[in-house]
Amino acid sequence: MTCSEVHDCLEAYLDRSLDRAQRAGVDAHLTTCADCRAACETASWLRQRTAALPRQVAPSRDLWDGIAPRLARRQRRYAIPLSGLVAAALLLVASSATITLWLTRSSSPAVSAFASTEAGYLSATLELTELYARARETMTPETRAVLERNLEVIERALGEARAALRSDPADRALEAIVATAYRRKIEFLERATLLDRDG
Amino acid sequence: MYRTALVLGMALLVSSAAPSAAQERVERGYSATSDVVLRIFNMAGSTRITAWDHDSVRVTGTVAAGGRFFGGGDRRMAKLGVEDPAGRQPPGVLEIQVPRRARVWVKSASADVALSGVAGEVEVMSVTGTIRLDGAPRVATLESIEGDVTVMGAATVLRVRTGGGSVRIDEVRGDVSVVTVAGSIAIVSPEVLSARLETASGAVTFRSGVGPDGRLEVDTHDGTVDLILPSSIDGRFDLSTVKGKLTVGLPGYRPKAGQDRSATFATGKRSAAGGGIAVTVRTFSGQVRIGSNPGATGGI
Repeated sequence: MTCSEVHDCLEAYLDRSLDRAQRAGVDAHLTTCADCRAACETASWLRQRTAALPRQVAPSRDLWDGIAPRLARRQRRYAIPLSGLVAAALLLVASSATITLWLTRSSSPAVSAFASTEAGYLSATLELTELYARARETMTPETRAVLERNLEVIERALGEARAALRSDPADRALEAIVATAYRRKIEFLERATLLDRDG
Repeated sequence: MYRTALVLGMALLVSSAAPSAAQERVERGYSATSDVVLRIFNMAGSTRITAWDHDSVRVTGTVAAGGRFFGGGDRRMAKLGVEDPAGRQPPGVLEIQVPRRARVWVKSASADVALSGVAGEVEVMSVTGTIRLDGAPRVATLESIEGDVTVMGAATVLRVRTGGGSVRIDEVRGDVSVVTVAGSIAIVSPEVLSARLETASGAVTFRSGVGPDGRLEVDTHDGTVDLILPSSIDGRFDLSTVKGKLTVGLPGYRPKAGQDRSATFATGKRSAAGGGIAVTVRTFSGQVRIGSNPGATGGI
């Protein structure tokens, strides 16, 4: 199998949904190709991290009794629990990593260079999101709310910039904007995780 | 009947007197060096720090029930503030006088922080509390996630970071860096040495000159950008908005076809030769408006 073929069936490989012959082909390729082996390990690692996240965080019962009827009427417009934020970040990382891997293999050198840069940002974002998830456990509800309101703004800006870059992958100005959006997110997450420091 | 009323009345008196009895009054004084390093912790309430021309630190104020004032250290370095063994954040109202050249570090959650006259170094970290700085410290680093930050004075190096809190800076002269998420940024000054302003969705207003060969960098996602610069500015401009609109109203500027979203040009003799002020504006979908103030000549 070629690298491209392995990449195309990597998700199915990790899902264990390939037939015996295909699986043997991927296994054989992975024993000889360090790049694909690294890609496979990264994808597998991301899957484990995502799977380890809680599916939902149940609020305490007294709160939930008041909130549930209103949610039913409102179609959940704003409520984004932390698990949602972290899961969204990880899903973004996972999907972006896949896109990044694909770009680095199939696109022009310039696009690949940015994909590599983006992979670095994604890795930092993932680590900081995990640190933030731990730090928020000791924060007051007000502090959490304030931080997550800001993270939503940052996430929206990043999403818009990335969508624009996907439409026009060769646009250098858009690359700079996406890089800035990642940096903004990383810096904010750093601040959020260090809020409890005593200097 | 009278007896019942008397008992009730006494109980009321005792209960109403109880909170003030539990409130701690603070009045302390410490000998200090002229450049003492101070770490001040007051999470809720307010902290007001004023510089004076004495080599000592004086603290007055009150601490609400449940909390207690603490302070300690030596003449060169001290730590003081409000603590609560139960881990809550009882409000403290602290007035602190510090030597003018002191280096002051303040930690707050919701407490408003005001500093006046400190010429040393200042660092403030808050979550929702406002920060107000008057004076000209050498270095000021001010961070509040949601609180507004107001600066008045000629700080040499000024770093401000907020999330949703707005930032207003007047009369600053030095090197300025402001980063917000959604908070607006407004700078009004005769001239700054250089400025870097970054926000995701806040509006940016910059009405100032920029020092000779200085830099003005503005970066927003969808926040509008309004720059009012001296009409005689000698600068190299690199402006771009991906989805917004670019409007340049500088004297002598003639837009070329296709320059409604990006433009690169120079004004003045030094800029034409590669010198002058470098002005860079990047935004994804924000509107960019560059105008001039005929009355100002700063930075030229």
